Amino acid sequence: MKDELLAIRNHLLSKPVLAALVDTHVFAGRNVPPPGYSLRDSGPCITFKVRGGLTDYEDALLEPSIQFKCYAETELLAQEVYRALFDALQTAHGAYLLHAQLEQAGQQLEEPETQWPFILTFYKVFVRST
Amino acid sequence: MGTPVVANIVKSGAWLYQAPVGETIPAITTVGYGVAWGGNWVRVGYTKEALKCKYEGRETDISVEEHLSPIRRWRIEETATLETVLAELTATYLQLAASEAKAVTTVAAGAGTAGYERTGLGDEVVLAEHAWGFEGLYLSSTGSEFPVRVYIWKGTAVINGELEFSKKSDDYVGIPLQIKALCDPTQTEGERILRFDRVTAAAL
Repeated sequence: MKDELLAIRNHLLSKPVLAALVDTHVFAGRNVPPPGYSLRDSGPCITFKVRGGLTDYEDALLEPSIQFKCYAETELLAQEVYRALFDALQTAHGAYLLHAQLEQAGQQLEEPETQWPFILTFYKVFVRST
Repeated sequence: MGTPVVANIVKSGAWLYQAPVGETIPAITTVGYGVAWGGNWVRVGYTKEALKCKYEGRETDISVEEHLSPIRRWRIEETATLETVLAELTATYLQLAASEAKAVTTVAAGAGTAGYERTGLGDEVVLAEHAWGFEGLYLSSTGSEFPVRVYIWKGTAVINGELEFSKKSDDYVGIPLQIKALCDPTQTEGERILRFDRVTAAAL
């Protein structure tokens, strides 16, 4: 079975506009940025993880539902990261993904402990399983 | 029949095969589960839905004046079909599903030219006939894997629905396929439309 998180991360990092915003700070399999991460020092970041989904009938395609959280120091910058994520993912295809589709548009939220603003959004992604 | 046997409950997908009419079926006593059927049998790629096999018979009742209910019943017509949806969109599978007889054109990539495959549909009245079959899994009471196979000696195929191209749906393009069996008079009476085999024990 292919590492779907790696495939998604590689796809996101291959997008210049998104990479210019978040650099390599795309954290796979995480709900929040790693301990010690500083939005002020390291800039915006994205965390993402699988929240469900299935395979196709013959397990030839992985079809996970992915939760993305776009973090930044300000709400406006988080929105900018979210828009770049949308441009990178919506109906995307390429070397790593077969297709991606928005499941739930972004909603502005704030982490209760750190007060970090983030945009929460969900995509369904198709990845070839081999 | 008699005592219920839990192991006789089969939970399995199926692999679809096709071959020229008259192709020898794989030896049920030696070709194991998951082993290629050999000869000119070709597995028909990935499917995106379960394979469904349906046998239907049409009957006529014989009634007499002396009784209220029929006293005899005859079968006067029968059909067998296989249905699934092919997951791979290729010229070969489109042609197979449409029972087209002409060959697919395949051109390899060359210097400055892309490779491609080509087929078409239209104005051909003769339907290509093929032998068809599928294999599923029977798991014995000891956990051994044995094949369950159904063969249709001769049948034609039809594209049985729409090919949906959508970038907004959460599904992908498939080729709906229906195979309709024909009677093969060269076979033994009673199995001229299909045969069912299930391996029940390993060779000694």
